[in-house]
Amino acid sequence: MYFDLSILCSVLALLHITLYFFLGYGRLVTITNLFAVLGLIFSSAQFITLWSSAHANPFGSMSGLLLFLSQALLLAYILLFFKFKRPSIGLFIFPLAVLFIIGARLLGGFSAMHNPQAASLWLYIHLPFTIIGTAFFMVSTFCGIMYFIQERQLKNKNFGVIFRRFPPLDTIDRLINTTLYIGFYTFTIGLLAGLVWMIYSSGRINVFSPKLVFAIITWIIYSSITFYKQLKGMSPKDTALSTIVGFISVIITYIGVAFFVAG
Amino acid sequence: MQLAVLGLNHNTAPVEVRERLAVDGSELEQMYTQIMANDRIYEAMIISTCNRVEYYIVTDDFLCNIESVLEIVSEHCGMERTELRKYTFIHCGEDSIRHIFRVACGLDSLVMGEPQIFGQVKDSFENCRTYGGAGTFLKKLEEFTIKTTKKVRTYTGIGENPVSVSYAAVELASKIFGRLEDKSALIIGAGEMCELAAKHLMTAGIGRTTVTNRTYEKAEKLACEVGGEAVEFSAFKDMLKNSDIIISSTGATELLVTAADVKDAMSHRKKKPMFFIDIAVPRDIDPQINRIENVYVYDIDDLKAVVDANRKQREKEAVKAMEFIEDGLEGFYEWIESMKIVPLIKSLRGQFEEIKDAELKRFSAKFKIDSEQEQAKLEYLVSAYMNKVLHTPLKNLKNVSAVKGKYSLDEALKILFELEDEK
Repeated sequence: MYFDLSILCSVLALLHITLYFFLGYGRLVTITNLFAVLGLIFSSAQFITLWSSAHANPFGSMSGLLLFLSQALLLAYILLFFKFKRPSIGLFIFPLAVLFIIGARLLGGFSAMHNPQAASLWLYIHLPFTIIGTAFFMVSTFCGIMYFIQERQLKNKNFGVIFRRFPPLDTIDRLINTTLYIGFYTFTIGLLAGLVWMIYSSGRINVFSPKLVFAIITWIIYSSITFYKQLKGMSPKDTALSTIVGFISVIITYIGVAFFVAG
Repeated sequence: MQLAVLGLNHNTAPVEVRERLAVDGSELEQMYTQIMANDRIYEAMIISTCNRVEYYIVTDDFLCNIESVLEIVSEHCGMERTELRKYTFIHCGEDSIRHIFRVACGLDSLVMGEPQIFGQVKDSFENCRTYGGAGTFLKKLEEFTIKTTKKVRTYTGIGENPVSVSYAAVELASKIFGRLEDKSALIIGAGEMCELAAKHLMTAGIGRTTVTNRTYEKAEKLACEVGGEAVEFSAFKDMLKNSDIIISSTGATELLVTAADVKDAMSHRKKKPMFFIDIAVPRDIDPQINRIENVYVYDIDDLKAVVDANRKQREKEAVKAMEFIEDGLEGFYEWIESMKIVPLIKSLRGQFEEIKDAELKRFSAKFKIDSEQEQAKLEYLVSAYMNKVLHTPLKNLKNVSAVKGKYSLDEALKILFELEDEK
């Protein structure tokens, strides 16, 4: 039941933010936020229910990963709204959250734990932090896309609905920075916890593990962006571009790693 | 009793006439006294702003009594009544209530949707209370006007999107930079447009303003007004690299800022955006600058396009606002209808009071109750009983009085006393 309720709430949040985008009534944002919070509560309830009933590693299946990723996206929206009061980012976040929850539902519940010993504390730090980090990287990519859309509106002097509803360029830049740094720090914690967990469970770091290769490549891409920003400084446009390029590289790497594993 | 309004505004009268009719704070008391001296005018209110002067009266014969107001206004401004009639409009009943709602929401303003008028209308209601013009009708009208205007402001975008060129320029700057507190502006020129833009920037909280002009004294004067600093005209190009927003409106016939100047400035800015607003004709800023990365140039035509688009948007919002105004009007008329029952309720209550007093007197005499304390207790009991008995029917009488419909006597009795059929 919680699955259906969280899908319903996320769909309603998406519907209301779309209506707000075109109609501009401030009250619609309040309703959107209400549904986003309810969506997060219901998906969390679903997550806890499955976890406690199956006694399974909640991240041990694709269903669990997708469900947690959707929670992380909804959480990112709520936190960013409280800090920036810019709801239009929901236009990008909610469709993905809806897709992930539906995906989690279609893929069924959590799989039984294969190796109970594997479920150490480090695993429970590693996976949530990595997923939250990935969610924030996704959101920073959306913000990067928003930056280019709004920049085009200003350059081409289009004063339509996008120009009115999207945040100012400066605000989008701050959104990118915030999400990029949160994503980077949480992902780093997740990665380190993963390495510790690997040592605890198998006694060594398996450098040929596809998951580890993928995680390290992602970390290298985003650490390059953040360190370059810190050391040399980056214009808002370059930052926006780097988040998009960074995320595309991550996806390409992921596909590459998947093929490598399949091979 | 109905509301009537005699007024003139920017649509009906030129500024010379509006000036003559304007009522300033010191004249208000006298005007209220003169209007309220008419026995047939029960309540009155005056709204006087730079774009309108309006006299609202609550009366039972608006045709006669509006003439008396016209007479007072004619005396006040020294214009013949026939001359005055050319510039004034009169609304009565529903139209006058709709009119005040429209005025308070800014739908009747020169700049549609401007918010200042709401404050001015609220001040006028307050003055009307201070000078004895307010009664039940206007107090309720104030309540409905505030409620309707707040709804319109909350649920429509009537106040969004600037419709003046200088304000639109500042709004565009906000669309690029978001917060302006840590940004700096360079104003090239010290004419009216630059002055307006500089003042809007100051209101928006710009961090630093620098003004330059061929006549340095003028630049200094404007800089002083907006809390900025002035620089010599010959040195303004050095300021470009430190300026985020550049507004230019001079009479120069050649380009003042070229693409090479901006490229040079951008090389010092680590690609931080620059925003140019060129309000001058002929233009001061090379339009090719817009091609440079992270630089945005808007000229007067672009700003006019923004203003036109915003005006159209506000017109659309005005249609939505009218729906809220009609709702407010309906609510106010329901209140008026419910008020029609008040004399009947008073008469009914009076009749019960009379019976109560007579019966108390008779009872005290018959049973020889002389003590004041005993009589007070008795009166308390009977009054409490009477109030309890009357409460339900009077409440229902008020509630259903606004509902138009005919009831048979037994239906009316059931509604009033909330009776149900015996099974």
